[in-house]
Amino acid sequence: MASRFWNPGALLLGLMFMGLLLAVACGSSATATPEAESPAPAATEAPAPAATSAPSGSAATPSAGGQAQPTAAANTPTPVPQPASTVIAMATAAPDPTPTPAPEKASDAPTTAQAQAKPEGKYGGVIDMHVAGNVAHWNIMECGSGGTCMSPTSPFSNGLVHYNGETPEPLDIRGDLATGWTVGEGGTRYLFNLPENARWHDGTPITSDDVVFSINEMLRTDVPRPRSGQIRPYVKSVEAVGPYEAQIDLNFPSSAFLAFLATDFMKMWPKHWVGTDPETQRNMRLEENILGSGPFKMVEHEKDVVYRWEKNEDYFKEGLPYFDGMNYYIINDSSTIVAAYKAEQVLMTVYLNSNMNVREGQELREDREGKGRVFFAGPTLWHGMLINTEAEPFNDVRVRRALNLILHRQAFDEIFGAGEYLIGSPLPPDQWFGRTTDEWLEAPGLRETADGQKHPDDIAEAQRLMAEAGYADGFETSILAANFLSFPDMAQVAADQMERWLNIKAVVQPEEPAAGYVRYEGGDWKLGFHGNGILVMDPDQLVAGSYLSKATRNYSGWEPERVRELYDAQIVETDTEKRRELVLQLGDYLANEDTHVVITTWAMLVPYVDNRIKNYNVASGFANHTNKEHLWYEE
Amino acid sequence: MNLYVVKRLLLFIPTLLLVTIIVFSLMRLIPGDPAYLRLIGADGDAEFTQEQLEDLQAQLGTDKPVVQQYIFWVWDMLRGDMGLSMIHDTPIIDDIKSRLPITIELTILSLALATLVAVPLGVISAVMQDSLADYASRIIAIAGVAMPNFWLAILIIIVLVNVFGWLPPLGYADLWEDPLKNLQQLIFPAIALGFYNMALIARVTRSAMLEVFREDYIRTARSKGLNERVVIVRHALKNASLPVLTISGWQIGRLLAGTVVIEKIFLVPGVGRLLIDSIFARDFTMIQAIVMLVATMVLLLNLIVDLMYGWLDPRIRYA
Repeated sequence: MASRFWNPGALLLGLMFMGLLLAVACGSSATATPEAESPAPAATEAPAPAATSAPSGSAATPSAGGQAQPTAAANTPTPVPQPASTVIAMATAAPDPTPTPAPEKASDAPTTAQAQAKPEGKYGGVIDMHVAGNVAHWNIMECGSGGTCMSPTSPFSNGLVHYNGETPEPLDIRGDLATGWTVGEGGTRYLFNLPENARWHDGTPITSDDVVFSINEMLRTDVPRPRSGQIRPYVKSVEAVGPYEAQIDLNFPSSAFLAFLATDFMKMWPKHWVGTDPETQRNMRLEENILGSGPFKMVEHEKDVVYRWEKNEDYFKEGLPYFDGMNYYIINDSSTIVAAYKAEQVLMTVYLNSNMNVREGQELREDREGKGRVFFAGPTLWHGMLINTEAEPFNDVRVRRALNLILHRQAFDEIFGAGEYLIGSPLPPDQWFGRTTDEWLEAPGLRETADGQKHPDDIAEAQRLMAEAGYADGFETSILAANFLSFPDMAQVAADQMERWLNIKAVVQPEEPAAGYVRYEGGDWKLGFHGNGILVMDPDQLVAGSYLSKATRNYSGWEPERVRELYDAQIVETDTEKRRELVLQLGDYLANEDTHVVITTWAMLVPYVDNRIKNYNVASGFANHTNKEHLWYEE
Repeated sequence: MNLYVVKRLLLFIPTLLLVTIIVFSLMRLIPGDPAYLRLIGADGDAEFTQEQLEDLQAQLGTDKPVVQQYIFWVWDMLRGDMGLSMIHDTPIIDDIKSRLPITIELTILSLALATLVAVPLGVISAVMQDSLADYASRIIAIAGVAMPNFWLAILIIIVLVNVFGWLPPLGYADLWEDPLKNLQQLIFPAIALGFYNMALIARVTRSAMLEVFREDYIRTARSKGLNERVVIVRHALKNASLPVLTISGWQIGRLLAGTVVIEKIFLVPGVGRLLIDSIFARDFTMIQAIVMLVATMVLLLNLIVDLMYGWLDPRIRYA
C-alpha cells in the first residue's frame, strides 16, 4: 500500500516546486546583488577646487598638554578660540550659568573664522546607510535624541557653525551657514556673516532674520528645548545688524558656547515658513512641515523602512555635497544590523550609534577587516551607581566612600564593554584636564592586583569604613535600575560585589524608564544604576552636568563645598595648566573623599563605515558630522 | 442553525467589550504618565515645567478620570477614530491602513507555505507509519513545535549572510508593484513564522489520517479495488481535513501575534513591527489601538471558525 502511494515522481515534483519558490524568492544571481551595490555610484572626478587649501588638520592642533594651538594661516579656517583642546559637557544638564573664562584669543580686537574649504572628492552615487531608529518627530528644537530626530533632520538643515567632519580634530569648528565670524567685546560678542547666495529649499533667501528667529526659538522656555536650550545660559541677546549679519551677545565670555552651537541640535529654521506667532506656528513635529537649507532634500520617508534623500543642486556651498543621494535604511535589531553590514547592504552608520554592542562590533571588525572600519567612539556616556545621599545609611560619607572603593570597575568593562570601555574614573581618563588611564589604574578603588582581582587594600579599607559607620555586618538595600541599556544587569553585578565584600544585600528593582524617573525625582530610592550622555567636551560642563547639585542625574542634590570651590576656581582660571591642576584636584576629591555617583565605565558607541566611503572622520560626539556633505564614494 | 449564529454573534459583543476593558486597563497599569514620558524624552533628561506637563495631559486627555477616558476611547473607536499617535502626532488609522495589508500578506503566505508542506508531510508520515520517512517527518514536526520562531529567524539570517552572502533586499516592495522583490522579502519571514504551524498541521494531519485509515469506509473503498491514491486523497484526506482546517483557522491568530518579532528581525514594515516600535517608544495610544485591532481580528476569526464548525458538524449547532 505504502509503496503504491510513495510515488517518487510526485514527491520530486513537490520538492521541485518548493525549490522553485525559494529560488524565485532569493532571485537569480542578478537580483541577489546586495542593494548597496546596485546603485553603484557613477563616480566622476570632482572639478579641482578653486584654489582653496585643504583644511585638514590645520585648524587646531593639540599640544602635549592638550592645549589648542590655533594656527593662523592664509586661507586656513581659524578655529574658534578655545580655552582647552577638548571640550566636554554632559549631554543634557544645562551648563552652570557662572561665567566661564574668557576665550584666550578673545579680546576687543575681533578674531575671525571662516567656513570650511572644499577638498577634492569624487561625485556621484546613491549611498545606502543604516540608521537605528525611526523618526519620532521632525522638530529639531524639541529634539533630545540622536537617532529619532537629530540624525534624520541633519541632511536638510544647517546650523550657524558645525564641527568639521574633514579632520579628526575634535575641536575644529567651522562655519556651516556662516561664512565666518568675529569675536569681540572681550569674548562676549559674536558677529556671524551669512552668505548672500544661501536659499531655503523653497527658494527664499536666508537672512539674519532667520538666524535671530532660530536662536530666539532655542531660547524659549515655554516649550521643551532639551538640547537646543543648552545655549540659554550663555546667550544674552541676538539681533540682526544687517541683512546678512547676525550678532549674538553673551552673558559672559565662554568657550563652551560655540562648542554647543556647533552640535547638530542647533539648526536654523526658516522664519517665513515656521511663523513667529507661537499660537499659529506650523507644527514642526510633522513631516509635511519640514523645510531646510541643507545639502540634501528628503524625497521619501517610508516609516520604519527608509528615508530617501537627493542632492540639493542649489546648495549654497559650491561643489557640495558629493553624493547624488542617500538612503537611510531603518534597522534596529542588532543581529540584522550586523548581517546588513556583512552583506554590504548598507555602507555606513548614519551617526555614532549603530545599536551594535561592543561584542557585535568586535565580530564585525574581524569580519570586515580590510573592507570596512568599526570604531569604538567616545567616551560618549558614563554608566554608574547613583547614591541617594539623603537616605540612610547613604547619608553617611563613610558608607559612600566604602561603595566607591568596593566596585570593581574592570569587571564592568569586561562584562559590558568587552574590554573596549574606559576605566570608570570620576572624570573621563586621557583628556587634557584629567588623569591618564594608567594613573587611574593606580588609584584606590580603581586599582587591582596583578592577577586581575579587586585590590585587598581597597577591600580592607572599605570594610573598615563600614565598621566605623556601624555597618560591619552590612545591611539590606535596593538598587533602582531603569529597564534599558543593561542597567538592571549592571545593578546585579554591583549588588554581587557589594554583598561579596561588604555584606550589603541589595535587591535590584528594574523599572520602566518613566516610572524610574518618577521615583528618582520623588526621592523614592536608595541606590540606582544609570548613565548620562556626553554632548560636548569641556571640564566645567562635565562637572556641572554630573556633580553639581542641579546635574541631571544628581537626584539627591549632593554638592559639597569643596566641589563648588574647585569648580568655581577652575572656571575663572584662564591659565590652562593652573586650570588643569584644579580639575585634577576635583577629580581626586571625587575619587577619594566623596561622590554621589560611582562611575563604573566610560562607554563607547560602535559605528561602522565601509572603506569606499572617503573623507570620513569619526565624530568626537554623537551630534557632530551628521549632514554627510563632505563624504564621497570611491571604489 | 440561525439560532446558533445569533447566539454566537451575541456572545461576540460582550467578549469584545471585555477585551476593550482589558486592553485599556493594561495600558493604564503600565507605570508612568504618558505626558510626563513624552516631555522627559527617551533619555529622561529633558527639561519641562509643570504647566507644560498639565497642558500636554489636557491635550492627551490623560487629565480626565479613567472611566471618562475609557468611554471616550471606546466611543471614538466605534466611530473608527483611533486618535493620534502620542509620539508622532499623526493619525493612527493612517499607519494601520498602510501596515495591515503587509501583515495580512505575510500571515497568508506563511499559512499557505505551512499548509503546503505540512499536509503532504503528515500524509506521508501516516501512510508510511513507523518507516524512516515517518520518523524523519516526526523529527521535523517536533523540531518545528519546539523551535521558537525568533531563533529560527536569526538562524536564517545568519545562514543567508555567512553562507550565501545575501539578504532579502532592503526597502519594502509592494506586492502589486514589484511581486518578485516582494516575494524575496517575505518568503524567509514567512518560513520563520510558519515553521511552527507547519509542524503542528503535519502532526494533526498524521493523527487524523491514521484515525481515518481505521474507518470501515476506507476498508470498503480498498475492497472495491480502488487505486490507493484515490483512497488516500479522495476518501481519507478529505475526511481528515476537518480538524486540519480548524487548526489552521485558529493558528491565524497565533501567526498574527508572531509577526511582532519576525517583522522586526526581517525589517517587514507591518503592524507587528509598528507595535514593537511603539512599545519601545512608549506610544501608548498606538499600542492600545494595535492591540485592540489584533484582538478584534482574532475574535472575528474565532467567530468565523465557530460558525464554520457549526455548519460542518450539525452536532455542534444542535448542542
